[in-house]
Amino acid sequence: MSESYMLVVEELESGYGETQVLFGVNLKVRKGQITALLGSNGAGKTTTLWTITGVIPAWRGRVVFKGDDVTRLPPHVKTRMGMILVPEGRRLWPQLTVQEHLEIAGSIPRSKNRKDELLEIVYQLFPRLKERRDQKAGTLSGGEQQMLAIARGIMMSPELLMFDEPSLGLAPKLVQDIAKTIAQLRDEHGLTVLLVEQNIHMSLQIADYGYIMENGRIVLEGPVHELEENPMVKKAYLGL
Amino acid sequence: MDAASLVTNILNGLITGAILGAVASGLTLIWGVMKVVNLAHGHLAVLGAFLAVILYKYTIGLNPLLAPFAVFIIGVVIGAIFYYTSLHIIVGKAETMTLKVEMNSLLSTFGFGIAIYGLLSYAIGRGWIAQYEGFTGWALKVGGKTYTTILGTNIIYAKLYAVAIAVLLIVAVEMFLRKTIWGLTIRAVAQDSRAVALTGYNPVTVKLVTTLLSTAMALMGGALYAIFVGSGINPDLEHVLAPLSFVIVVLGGLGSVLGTFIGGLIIGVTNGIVYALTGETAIGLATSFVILILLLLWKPTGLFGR
Ligand SMILES: Nc1ncnc2c1ncn2[C@@H]1O[C@H](COP(=O)(O)OP(=O)(O)OP(=O)(O)O)[C@@H](O)[C@H]1O
Ligand SMILES: [Mg+2]
Repeated sequence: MSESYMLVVEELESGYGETQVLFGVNLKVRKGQITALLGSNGAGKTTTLWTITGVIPAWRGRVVFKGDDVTRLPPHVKTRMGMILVPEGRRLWPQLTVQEHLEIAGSIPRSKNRKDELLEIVYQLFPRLKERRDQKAGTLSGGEQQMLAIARGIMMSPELLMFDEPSLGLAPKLVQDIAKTIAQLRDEHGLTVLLVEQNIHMSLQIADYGYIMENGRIVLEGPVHELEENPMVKKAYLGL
Repeated sequence: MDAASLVTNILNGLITGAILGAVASGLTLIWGVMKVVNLAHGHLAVLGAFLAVILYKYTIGLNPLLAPFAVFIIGVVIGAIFYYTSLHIIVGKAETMTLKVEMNSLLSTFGFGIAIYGLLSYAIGRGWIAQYEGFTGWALKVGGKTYTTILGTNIIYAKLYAVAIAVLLIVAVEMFLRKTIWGLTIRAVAQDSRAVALTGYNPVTVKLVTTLLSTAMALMGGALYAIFVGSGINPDLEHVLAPLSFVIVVLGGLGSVLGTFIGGLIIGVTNGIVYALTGETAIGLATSFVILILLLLWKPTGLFGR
């Protein structure tokens, strides 16, 4: 049964300094699916991702990736295992060009031998990036920067691709484009996705399963069609 | 003052500047990338100068022409010692430089510098090596002559050689930073170290490599300085090399190796011109700081800084 899950998070607790933010988070990401982690400002979504990747240490609980307990591994090691995060706010290197970003990401051991193939996928998804390949990331538009952040993720040959608010600060049209791209990554490339979003509308459109987080706890979970019908979700998040 | 002596001083200024640029270039890396204000930098350069002399005079009689390369390699080893004694526990894991981390690194690099100074002074005191020495008895000769004449100015071949190697060092480091995956990750760590970890590279390893490179460059710069001056190597040279390095790095723009080299040329040429006008070296040094202040008013990030 556990083989059907790419990622299992059990009773995860963590925080910053003395302040506890996560209070026993449980969630599972099924292979080949888009799992959405939803919640409003300050719910603890980003903290959950930082703890899963190991950027901040877990105080308690477990992170199981592809069946292995990886709770204590540092972020660069998890990345090399195929657990990839497209972080909140893009976190590009403003002085490096588009091509240099893709070069760095495509040179880790798991990608090195198929760098050209990956580049082709990336440029097919985002032809804009090909036109801008010699441009510094700091001079790209917001939408292009998000494309580059996703492209950098794809260059690392992800098995699990995690997005932290990819729609943040983008115009509605671009949000739709990004949503389409994420669905395409699942449908055409078989990727497993953990999508963290405040934009519930967009997430429910493409996700298979969803979790709702409040104050560092999961308060509701279920298949997307059930969540859409849930009175609490309708009231609090969909404004119905 | 006549035009000929102005040309001579400008030419000499360019040569001095190229050497100073090479001496300073390691500092721009460690400061720009790791945000470590390395107070040991000047001492490391002096150590490089002494090592070049020691290799030539007190040990294997190494040809001074090869000294910069040998000293670079020794510099990598010293860089590892420097990193693990003075930087690893302080900045290795630190993702951002808080005031506390910065203060601690100031103290630890200062301490490492003092250790070098003490070690050299001790070796001199015990009579193992002599100060105010250099490559006496050696000269680079081409066609039986030790100098050539450019624009009516006599220039010693050894100095020209040092400049050529300085340029080679700058070009090689620039290529390394631009074209290799190591160089790219070094530049990326300077801009967002957490994103580097999330791209599969250990930022701690990248910081170690940055320190090795920066230290080896400091020592090699010192060896070039030794060839350039030929004699008079002593531990107190630090008091000239360190402040000039800081001025040049800020002038060129923090983190830019090429900028540092050009910053060195600017300082060298101004010193040359001021010397031609006044006949005083000390005024040239003061002018360097005036130039720095004026440039920072116009472009606060330095010539090539962002
Ligand atoms: N570096 C930090 N130091 C201290 N507290 C933090 C830090 N980062 C976040 N927090 C706190 O942790 C809580 C959860 O923040 P988190 O960023 O995980 O929320 P989020 O769900 O991602 O919100 P958003 O949708 O606004 O990004 C908040 O109360 C926040 O103030
Ligand atoms: Mg967040």
